[in-house]
Amino acid sequence: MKSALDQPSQFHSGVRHWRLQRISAIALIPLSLWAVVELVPLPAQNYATALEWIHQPLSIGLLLFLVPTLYLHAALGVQVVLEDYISDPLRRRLVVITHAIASIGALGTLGALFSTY
Amino acid sequence: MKAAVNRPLSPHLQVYRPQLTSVLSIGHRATGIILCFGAVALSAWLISLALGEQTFNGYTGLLNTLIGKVFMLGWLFSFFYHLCNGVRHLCWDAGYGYGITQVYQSGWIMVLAAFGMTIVALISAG
Repeated sequence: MKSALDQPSQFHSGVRHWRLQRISAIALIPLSLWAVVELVPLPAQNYATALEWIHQPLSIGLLLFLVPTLYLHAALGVQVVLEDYISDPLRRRLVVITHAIASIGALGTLGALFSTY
Repeated sequence: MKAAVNRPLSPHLQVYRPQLTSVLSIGHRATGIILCFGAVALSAWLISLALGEQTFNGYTGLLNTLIGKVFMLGWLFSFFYHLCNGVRHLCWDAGYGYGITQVYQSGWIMVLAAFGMTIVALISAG
């Protein structure tokens, strides 16, 4: 008899999930460090300074990589937690919802980024 | 049924004595979840920037309240924790540091590094 555990995860095979999680983690080491170093003094500052910062080619260039990688890494991580603690069929639905929210988050953020131009 | 009695138990968190290894592992998940909300806060910052000066000032005003600052400190520490422990995990994935003394050593180094980086960030933020 086939148990729920024998079936592959909805989005990726286990290997693909594992690999994507590591690749996104490695990419996020420099990207997220850059963002934190840049942003720690920034939120306190004013609109003009922030706008100027976002329009620098380096800022927009790195944010274009950071935002999708960050949301992918977040969704993959939450998926693991869901798969550990919640059983089917709710688990599958929550995993789908998690990835949908992450995609909307990434796209919305990138959309906002472009609309500052 | 003697065999069943001696069978090893899975680590039910409620009855398992906390160890550095297990606490750090749970912490990695906890900080990961906290950082999901941090990502949303970062997106909100970019979206408020796109929506104009008034929205931006409203949002940064919110971040600069006491509660906002507590949240930002939480995200900052969670970030450094997740980063340092993430590097530790990547080393394990590459096959390094599996000895029991090494696991404890890297664990303590990670904790110190995460606190140290948070303090440095706070000082540089003014």
